[in-house]
Amino acid sequence: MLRKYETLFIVRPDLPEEQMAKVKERATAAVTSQGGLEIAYQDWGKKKLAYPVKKVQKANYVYFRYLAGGEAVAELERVLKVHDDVLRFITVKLGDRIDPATFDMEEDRKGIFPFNIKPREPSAERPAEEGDEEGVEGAPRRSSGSRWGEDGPAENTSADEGMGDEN
Amino acid sequence: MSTGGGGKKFFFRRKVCTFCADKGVALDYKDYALLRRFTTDRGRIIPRRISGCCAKHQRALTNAIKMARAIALLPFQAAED
Repeated sequence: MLRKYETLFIVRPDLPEEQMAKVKERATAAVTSQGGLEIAYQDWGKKKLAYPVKKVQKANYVYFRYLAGGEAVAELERVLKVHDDVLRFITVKLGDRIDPATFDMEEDRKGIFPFNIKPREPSAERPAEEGDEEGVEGAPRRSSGSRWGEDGPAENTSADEGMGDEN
Repeated sequence: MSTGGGGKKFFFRRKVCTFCADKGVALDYKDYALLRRFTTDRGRIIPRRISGCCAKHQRALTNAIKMARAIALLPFQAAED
């Protein structure tokens, strides 16, 4: 029985390809050496950081999903912490008590979307709006008009009932 | 609940929690574009009384925003222009 984890980490943006490959090798090796199984390792591309980390304004987001035990997480985090090109990481447990024999990796991979930007059919009720998102290089844009308008969460308040006369 | 009529000036609209209303929307720290709608332009988390979220989802939202901050997807504090 293994657990399902994901680790999202940010890597320096200016690395040559072989360096990026090395990061991948180190990360996956850390997990597999502890009896873990790689589900997906994806480069989500460069994105401007919300704040500078170690003087870096822009960085590569890398997403790693795997089945493993807790020791693998400890080992992976140790490796990432030591690695100078990895700026930040975050690990989240996604599932517990998973039997690797019956686990469908193909199916699981389909549920991964960079930054949760899903290709959604545009909803009819809301007109397409070009958002202010600075976007991710090399990642699909969120289909506009899929969720809320600019004013976001507050907007369902005006839609209901239609009575009441505040100005 | 009627508003009672007794000279009350304001009508309070019961806000519906966005996440209860739309079950298809999952809260995820990686979804910074969604989370950003629940922060002010200075990066602060919008309180429940404004956003209208239910307690359960506001809690999840707060956690998600804080996780997003940890990996620089959202600002702790946005610059004043």
